[in-house]
Amino acid sequence: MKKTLFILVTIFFAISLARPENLTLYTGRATTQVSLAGVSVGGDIWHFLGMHIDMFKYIKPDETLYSGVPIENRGDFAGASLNFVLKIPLHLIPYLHRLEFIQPYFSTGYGFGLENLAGEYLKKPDKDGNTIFLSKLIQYDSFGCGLIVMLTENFGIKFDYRKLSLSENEKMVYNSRSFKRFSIGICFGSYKDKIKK
Amino acid sequence: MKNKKIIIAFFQITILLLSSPYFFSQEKIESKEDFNMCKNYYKSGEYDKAIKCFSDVIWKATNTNLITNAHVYLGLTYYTIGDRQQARNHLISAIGLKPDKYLDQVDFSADFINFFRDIKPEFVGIGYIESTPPNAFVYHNNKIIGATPFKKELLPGEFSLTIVKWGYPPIEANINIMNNEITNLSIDFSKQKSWKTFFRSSFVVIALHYILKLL
Repeated sequence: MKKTLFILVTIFFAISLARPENLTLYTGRATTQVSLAGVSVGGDIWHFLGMHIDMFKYIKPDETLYSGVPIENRGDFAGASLNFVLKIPLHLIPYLHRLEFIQPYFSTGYGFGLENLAGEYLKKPDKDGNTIFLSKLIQYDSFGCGLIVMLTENFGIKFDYRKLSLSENEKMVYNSRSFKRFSIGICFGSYKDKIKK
Repeated sequence: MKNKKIIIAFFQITILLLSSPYFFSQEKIESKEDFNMCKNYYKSGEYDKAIKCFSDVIWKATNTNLITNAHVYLGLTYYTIGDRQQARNHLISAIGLKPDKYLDQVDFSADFINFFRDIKPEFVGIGYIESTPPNAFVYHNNKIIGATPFKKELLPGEFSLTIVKWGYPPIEANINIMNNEITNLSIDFSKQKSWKTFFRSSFVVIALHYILKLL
């Protein structure tokens, strides 16, 4: 309850403060030997501090967790996370003021994911025999870094690397696990810091 | 055999480079010598020769400073022989090439300096740029033209400038220079993003990172 309240308050706070909307469409590869695709939406909430909601999904199933039985199949993963992005202002370093189009960043996030979106799986009973959907949700943390190269004022390429640590799901008796993912995407929205007077 | 070819090629390249105008500009030296000769004509009272000579320098020289000085001296020569209109025309040309040109009392008479000072404001305005904090670089066409507080005589028109203070994002500003007027531009960096705000944001991100883990 506390978590949900905290996340909701933060989202409302961020939406009210968010300035230019930034949208990234990306595709990538994870260390679980799967391809993934996703979208990230967000904006700046403070100086050099951005907030993004990141949603992604595996394109192909993870062979190690895949099962032909739909109720047992955990080879897919779709997740949504709230990420705080700290942009590194390279262009504030002496002599580098022209490099404002290069935007390195660190991000830390908190999210939830599902290992299978099929109806059968979502009705799978947990260890207590309950079939509620929420018990299938797996909480995960993400931490990573990336680089945005703006090709124009409002369009750029984003390289992102992050580690996703999936928590243990006690109710479903799933162990914790983690994977790393690298993605490349196109982003829209001004990251420029240059001020016009 | 191979080494011999390399040595020959090296000498050929060296000779080619030395003969290139980038390395040794005969034309520039000749123009400067011509300019000094023209000044001597003026000093010895041979004004016709001085006029022709300075005109030749303007025609031949490629260096803006030299052309500007030649215009000033041509103006001085015309001023001395009483042709104020021609003197004015050449001083205007000099101002057009170098709006912040000033005349030194060592080289020019007070009368001529005053004549020049009367003409200048008709064609030049003053741009005054200050910033908080000071010592910000002023860029025009990707070249540093000074540091704040910055005062420069400029030809009338609109100038796009980029003011760069290390530790703050660059600020793009336009300044509209009008003749015979001082145009002020004040830039306040203190309200912009800076390293200070970055460190504050870093602290917030680190705090959020741990709060999310604790929840």
